[in-house]
Amino acid sequence: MNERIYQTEYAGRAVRYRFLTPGARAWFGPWAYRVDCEDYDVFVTPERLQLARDLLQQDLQRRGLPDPGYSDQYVEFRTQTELTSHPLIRCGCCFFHAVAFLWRGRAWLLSGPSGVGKSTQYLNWQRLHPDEITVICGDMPVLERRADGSIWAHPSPWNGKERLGSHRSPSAPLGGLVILEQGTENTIVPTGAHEAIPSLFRQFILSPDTEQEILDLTSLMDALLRAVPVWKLTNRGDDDSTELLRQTLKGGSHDPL
Amino acid sequence: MTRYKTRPGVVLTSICGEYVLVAAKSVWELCPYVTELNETSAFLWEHLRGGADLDGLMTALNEEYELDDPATARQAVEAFLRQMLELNYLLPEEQGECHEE
Repeated sequence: MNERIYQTEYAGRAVRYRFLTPGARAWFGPWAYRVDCEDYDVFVTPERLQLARDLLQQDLQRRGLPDPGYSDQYVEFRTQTELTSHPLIRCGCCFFHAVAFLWRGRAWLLSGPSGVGKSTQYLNWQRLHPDEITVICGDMPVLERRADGSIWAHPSPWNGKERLGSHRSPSAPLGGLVILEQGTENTIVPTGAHEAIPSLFRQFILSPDTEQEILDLTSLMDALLRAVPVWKLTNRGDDDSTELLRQTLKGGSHDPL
Repeated sequence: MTRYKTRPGVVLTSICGEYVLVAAKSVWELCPYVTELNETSAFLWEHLRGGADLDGLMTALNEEYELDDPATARQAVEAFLRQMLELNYLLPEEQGECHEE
């Protein structure tokens, strides 16, 4: 059963998986379908699974959080993002840790470390202005660099604990990137490349193995920073911060397509 | 005089005009993943990668920036080498291609 190969498409690129643990495939839901072949791109080995579990526990300890007892299936599913980025980066695509949503014909990214309030901002906006925005992906959308220099955001199965988004979610050209941090005041300021670059390296889900992967990844970052504006939102996570965000994006967005 | 070479797996690239050194995962335990460089350091890195020794780096810097005082070039090159050595991005030439274990 475990030897069966499944396929998923991201931004039109096919990636094939071999699953290690029974049940890991279920995390993909309708994203993955069985294909009749022997070759695969991604397989989480038992050693890799244990390493990923150790790193997860270290991260929880560092953040002072209790170990929720992640199942092997869940750890395998999480580990597959990093492994999936290797075949994708060759095509100018990579997972990016952010909430991506559609607004006024463009995709907007709310980015930042776990717990900073990305989903909170999205859910606030949705509550304050119902039917105005549509989620693309709640945790790790795929960003794609196109030949014309534009960046597109696509849904992925990794949609976060709130499960925001599905395989039916839309794709869209990127309108802007917002880097979130928590604070006692709500402020939002445009951010230049110099300040944004360290954040981009943290948020792209890829540990480059080769010099070519480094060049492909930094080329994607370069295209992103040239294509869209970037802001840093310091926020309390309240409704006022979301209105500030909305007004800023409204004023700073590019012309609609 | 010790000659240095750039560590294999570390790449100088630029993002929107900002120079960054980026290390492949295989050397993350030895040096930082990402370090931003100024224009002068990026210039020296490229010449070091091309095989320049200390004198070669100073000569290249003098020619590129038309420095009046040779001591200025030496100070800049030494400061660059010191920073890169502290971050472990360089290897003594004698070590060849091998990674540190």
